[in-house]
Amino acid sequence: LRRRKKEEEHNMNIIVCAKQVVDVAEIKLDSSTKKPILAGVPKKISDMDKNALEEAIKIKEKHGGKITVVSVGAPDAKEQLKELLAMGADEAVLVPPPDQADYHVIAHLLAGAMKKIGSYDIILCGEASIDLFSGQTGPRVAGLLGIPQITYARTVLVEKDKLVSERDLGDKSVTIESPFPVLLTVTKEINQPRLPSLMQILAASSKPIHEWPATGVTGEALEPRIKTVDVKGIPSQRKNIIYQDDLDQSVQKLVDELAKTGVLR
Amino acid sequence: MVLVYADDKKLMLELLHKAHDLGKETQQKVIAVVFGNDASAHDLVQHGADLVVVMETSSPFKAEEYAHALEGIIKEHHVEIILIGSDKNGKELAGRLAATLHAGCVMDCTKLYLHEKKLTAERIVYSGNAIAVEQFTAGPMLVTVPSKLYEPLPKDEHHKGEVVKKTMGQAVSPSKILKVEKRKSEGVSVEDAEIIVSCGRGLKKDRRVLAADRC
Repeated sequence: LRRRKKEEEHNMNIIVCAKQVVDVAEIKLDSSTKKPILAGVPKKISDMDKNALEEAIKIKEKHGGKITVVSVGAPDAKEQLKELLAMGADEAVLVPPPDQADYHVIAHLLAGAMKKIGSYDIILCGEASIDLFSGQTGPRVAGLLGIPQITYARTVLVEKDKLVSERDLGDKSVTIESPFPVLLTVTKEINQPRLPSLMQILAASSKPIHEWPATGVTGEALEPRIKTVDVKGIPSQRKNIIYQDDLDQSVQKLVDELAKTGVLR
Repeated sequence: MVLVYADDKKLMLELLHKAHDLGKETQQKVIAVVFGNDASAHDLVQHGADLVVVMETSSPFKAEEYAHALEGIIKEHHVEIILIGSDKNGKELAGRLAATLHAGCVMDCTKLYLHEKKLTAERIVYSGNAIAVEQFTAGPMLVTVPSKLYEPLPKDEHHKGEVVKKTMGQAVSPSKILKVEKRKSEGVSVEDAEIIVSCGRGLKKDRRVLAADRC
C-alpha cells in the first residue's frame, strides 16, 4: 500500500488550456462591406488546443496522472469541452468571462483558475488560436504564474521530474530542459489528435465540467487594456482593365502594364 | 518613453523609425535595448535612438530572463509604448512581458497610429478574412511589429544619444537551454522574396506547377 501511495505522489497533474472558436473555414463575408459574418458560424475547439490535449494524454498514458482542461468562454462552450473529455481529459473547468475581456483579462482568469486548482506540473496550450492567432495567452499565463515557458514545442519528452522539449523557430530549433511546473505551447506538428470512440463519447457524459464564475477565480474586477473598436473587411481591389484592341496590341499593352506595376521585369 | 527591441538588427532599425515618429507625436524619447554587446549601439543612435541600453550577457535568448530585464528598464524609464520585433522569440517575449506589466498587447500589427490621441493597432484576424482595429485604453502599451512594415530611418550622423551598459541580473528561470541548432532551410525564404507567385489548385498537375516555378 505504501508503495502505491508513493507512486501516486509522482502522478502528473496536467492542465490543458482550450478555447472555443468560430470555425474560420466556415466564415462568410458580407458581400458589400466584406466584413466577416460571425453570427451562426459553427464553433469548435481551436485546432492546436487539441494537439495540446493529445500530448497531455500521451504523457498521462506513460506517467499516470490527471488532466484538467481549463477554458475561458461562453456557457455554450460546454458542448465542445465534452469532446475533449471524450478524447481523454478527466475533467474540465469553464470560466465565463466578463462582457469586456481582452488577453489581459483572459490570462488572469486562466491563471486564477489554475491557482484554484492548486497543483500543476505541466500546463499545455496551443501555440495560438486559429481565430485570432495572437499567441500571447500561453506566455501571459506562464508570466502570471512565474513559471518557465517553452513555446512552439514540436517535441516533448517527459521524465520523472523534468521534461525536454524542442522549440521550432523555423530557421533553427532550440532544445530546452525544464523542471516542473512548466508551461508549453505546442505546434500542430507535434502530434495527430485522436478521435474519440463511441464508448469514450458516451463515458464522457459522466465526467465533470465545473463552471466557475470569473469573480471566484481572480478575486478582483479586471479592467481590459485594449478595446476592439472595429473588425473591418479586407477589400479586394481589382483594377478591372480589359484590353479590347486587336490581339497583338492588347498583348503589348498588357505586357507593358505588367512591367510597369513590377510583375514582370 | 518609447522602447524598441528586436533580435534582428535590420528589424530593430525599422522599429526605430516608427518609434521615432511616435516619439515625435507624443513628445517622448526613444530607448533601444540591445542584449549581448555594444557593437551596434552607436549605429542605433544614428538611426534615431536617444538612449541605447546595452544588457551585457553571453547567454542565449530566454523569454523569462529577457522579459525580466526589459521590465526593469521599462519601470525605471517610465516607458509608455513598447515596440518588439514580431518573430517567434519576440512574440513569446511580448506575451510574457505584457503579463508582468499588466499591459495590453497587440501581436503582428499591420498598421500603427494615434487615433484621437490613443495608440491604435490593426492586425489581421480570422485567417486573413478581416482586420481587427485595437485601441489601447491604458498603458503601458505593447505592440509586436513584423519586418518590412517600415523602412529604417536614413542614418543621421549628427543625432546625439546616450549609451548605457548594464549587466543582466541572475538567472530567473530554472529551465536550461541544451542545444541551439540551425535547421536546414527547405527551398527559398518567402520573407526575403521580392515577388511571390502563388498558384491555386486549378493548376492540378505537377508539370504545370513546375512551369509556374520556371517563370
